Amino acid sequence: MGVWQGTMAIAGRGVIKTRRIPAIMIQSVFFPTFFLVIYVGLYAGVLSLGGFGTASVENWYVPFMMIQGGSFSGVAVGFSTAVDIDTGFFDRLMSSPVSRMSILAGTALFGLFRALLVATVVLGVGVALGARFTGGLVGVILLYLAVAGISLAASGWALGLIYRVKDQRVAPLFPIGIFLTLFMSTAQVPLEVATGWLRTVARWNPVTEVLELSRQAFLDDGVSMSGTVGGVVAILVMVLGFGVFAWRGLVRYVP
Amino acid sequence: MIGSGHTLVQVRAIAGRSVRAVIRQPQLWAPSLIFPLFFTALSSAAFERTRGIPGFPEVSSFVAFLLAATIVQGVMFGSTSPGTDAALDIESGFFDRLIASPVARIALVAGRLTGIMALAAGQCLVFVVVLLPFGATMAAGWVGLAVTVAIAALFGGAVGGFSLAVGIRTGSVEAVNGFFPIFFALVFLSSAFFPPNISGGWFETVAGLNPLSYMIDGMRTLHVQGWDAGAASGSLAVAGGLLAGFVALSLLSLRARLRS
Repeated sequence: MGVWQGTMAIAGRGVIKTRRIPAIMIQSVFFPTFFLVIYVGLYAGVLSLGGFGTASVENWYVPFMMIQGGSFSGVAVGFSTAVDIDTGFFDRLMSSPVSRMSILAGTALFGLFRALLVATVVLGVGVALGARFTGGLVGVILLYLAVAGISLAASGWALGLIYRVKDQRVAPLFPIGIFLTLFMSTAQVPLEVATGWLRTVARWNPVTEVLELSRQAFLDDGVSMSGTVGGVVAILVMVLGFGVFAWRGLVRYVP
Repeated sequence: MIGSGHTLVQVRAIAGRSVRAVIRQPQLWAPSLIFPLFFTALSSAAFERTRGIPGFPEVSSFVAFLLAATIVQGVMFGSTSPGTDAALDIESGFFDRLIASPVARIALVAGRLTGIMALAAGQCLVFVVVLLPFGATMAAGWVGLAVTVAIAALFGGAVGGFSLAVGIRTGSVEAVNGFFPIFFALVFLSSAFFPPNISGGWFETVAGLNPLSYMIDGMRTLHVQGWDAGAASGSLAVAGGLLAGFVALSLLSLRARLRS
């Protein structure tokens, strides 16, 4: 079996499982959608501080919630791999003639599929709530690029951990790592509004660049080169870094 | 055996078992301390400047504003164990052995809830002690602290009572965890994290209808303004009312399980 065929078979298994048990998707969709509705209502008054680049609270929070949904969909493949390891399926997979690259790429591809699905639901809810595009088609493409990048990086993080530890007890670390990284950025407020330690941490957090990339679809200034380059570089670095982390864990995996 | 004296002994024994079960497993209580504190650190750094928005209550820092929210959020996170414990006991068969023993039925509910109320009180004290050096205030002094701890204990019992009702009724840990977002949503849809008068719109309306807003606003008054008998009694009444309602629900669930 070639690498491509193996990749598609692994990803297809996840898609079939999701289609058979749609409840798996409920939590992935529920939390970002719920938080979007809450944040839009709760922090509507915060935009009066200025510096957000938009007067619409929906426009500010929709990209963040799409990224959040994408990242949690990414780490979800870590949970399913943990279950596969627990049931012995993963060991059988590793003993089969499927290449290691197919196992990693197929699993990440399934995470990406889920992430794009969740992000699209969140986007739909956001538009229904009042979010409006300002960055045109290019802005939307960059928004989805950001979601895809975060999803792949999150999958790499979760898979790298589970391949090394091989125990479900490491699973709580998947979302915690993502959660901390996401929130210690400009997720809630821009750098100009943040104070103290958060301002310093967010300035150096690569997720801040990814959020800037994604928000070009919704902020008044629209798409610009300066808003794009940093985000694309951050995505490349994160995907590559966590991809290598996962790959090295997988090649050392002994069934 | 069914005398009130014995019932109290049984309540104490079951409460002790619940407390020990939680304390021995740091994975159960650590997140309910760490996450609310992290959220407070994060939100205070993110929203400190919003204190300058007209209409924001007079507080010395955003941490002072958030103290009540931190307590309520932490207690909520940490108080679902009565339900999950009951579900696990049902799954393992221990609950059947308890039922077959001469333990008073009321002790099965009261014991677990007393235990979680004690833990909620302890949690509340930890939050106050940790956040005071970072800008939190307790303007109503020791009396305010005592009332705050009492509200936390009652609210912990209420959340525990709700989870216990679900746990006894369903016998499923997943079901208990599945119902948890209801409380989660209620706290977020209240005045816990931001003044609803500044949020405006539908949020202000919903938060105004949410009983948790009254409980949290009362606690906040004690923390940032000083002693106010009306605020204290209002908060205690909401927390006590929730506790009474969910204890009744737990007893109904227990009766339904005993019949089945």
